[in-house]
Amino acid sequence: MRLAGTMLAIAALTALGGCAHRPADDPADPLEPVNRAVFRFNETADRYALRPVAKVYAKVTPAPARTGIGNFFDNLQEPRNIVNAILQAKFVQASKNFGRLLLNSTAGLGGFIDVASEVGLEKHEEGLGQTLGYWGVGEGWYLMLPLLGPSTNRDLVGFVGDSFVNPSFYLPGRYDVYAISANAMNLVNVRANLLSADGLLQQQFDRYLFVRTAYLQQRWSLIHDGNPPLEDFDLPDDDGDSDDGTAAGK
Amino acid sequence: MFKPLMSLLLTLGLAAGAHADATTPDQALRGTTEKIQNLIKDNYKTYRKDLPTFYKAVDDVVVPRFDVPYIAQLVLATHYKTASADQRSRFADSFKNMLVRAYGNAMLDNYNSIQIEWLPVRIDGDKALVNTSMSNSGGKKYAIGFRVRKVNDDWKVFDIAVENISLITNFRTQLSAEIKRTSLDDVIKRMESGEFAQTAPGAP
Repeated sequence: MRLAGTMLAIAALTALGGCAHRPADDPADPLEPVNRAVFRFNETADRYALRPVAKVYAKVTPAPARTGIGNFFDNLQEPRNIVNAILQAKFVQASKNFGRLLLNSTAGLGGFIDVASEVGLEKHEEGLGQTLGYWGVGEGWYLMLPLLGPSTNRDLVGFVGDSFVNPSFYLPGRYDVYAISANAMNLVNVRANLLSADGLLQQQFDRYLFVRTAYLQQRWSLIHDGNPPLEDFDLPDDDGDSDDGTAAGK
Repeated sequence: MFKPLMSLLLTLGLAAGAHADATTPDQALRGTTEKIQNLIKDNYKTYRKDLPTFYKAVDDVVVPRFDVPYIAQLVLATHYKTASADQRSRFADSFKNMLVRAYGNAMLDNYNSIQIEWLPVRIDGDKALVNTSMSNSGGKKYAIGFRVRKVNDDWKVFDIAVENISLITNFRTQLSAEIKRTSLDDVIKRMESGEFAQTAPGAP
């Protein structure tokens, strides 16, 4: 009985490990037609709701205040960063994040000022999706979530899991109210800071593909703490130069 | 009889080796960056008024630092195999022109305010990664990485990653979808007409 359980656990782990990483230019996107429909919905929601709100917000909120609000929300994510750094056995990183949380919550006036960065404790994002990726779990399918934006099977699991270490989860009262209002505030703030990137997005041949490729590459880079193994762009027939595949081995 | 010849060859070989070692990938890139920055500094007003002259300068100074045919091959990926020699060279040319316009304008706008911090180089055989951290006047930092490879004893760029988003991967994905939807000839024609001048990541 116990043996059977162990075998089952090993089989499950192997199955998870089996969904390996795929290059960002050729990801698993079997839901593409659905994803594209959701993407169109998100774009419409952005055009008629989020973007106009963000524009007004950017006009009435000076840039330093927006940075402060961004810092505040970043600080709320610090417990998540700590827990996930520990889950990846990055204990030095975890203690740095702990230092950030302490410093920014106190000297940084509740997180609005990122004093920790000024003393060399730079922001370092860790989440459950990254933790799973760190231990070799592939991203699975690419997903475009309504209003929440790009994700993958793995990152969606991570997103749900991470909500348990969000401080607002433990406030008395209704979690969903806090979560929705905090997320909405954060979203408007993030969107306001991205207004300048609109031009770039509008110039792409295919915005859906651009967002997909960019998202997957950024996640892949985050899993490797900003130093992803170099893509060797596997060419169908190489021109015979000495490609020993060392980049792929790492 | 053979000995002097051998030693001559050896010496030449060593000299060539020493030459290759003399330039590190980041030195090569720095040289090119300084050259174009100085040119812009000296001719800023002329370039502003006469963009074709500026693009010509970028063509002469910056483009030789890039491995254009290899970039074209990487971007086209599977479509490269079936492309004719003419299509390959036309694609490479129009792709290069598109990048010159996209990044050239960014260079002209920011040559004065941009701060480049050169980070340690990762060398892996005949390929290397030169990481930089560029900051604009607002002080915001961007991680820009250059993938280079050795071609005829010189380091040439074949990919640029802006915040780890690769130019090759971005264009490969979008262009291959576009080629599948229409045709390679059609995409080349649209590129030649300047339709996609600003699709490069990081171009403002």
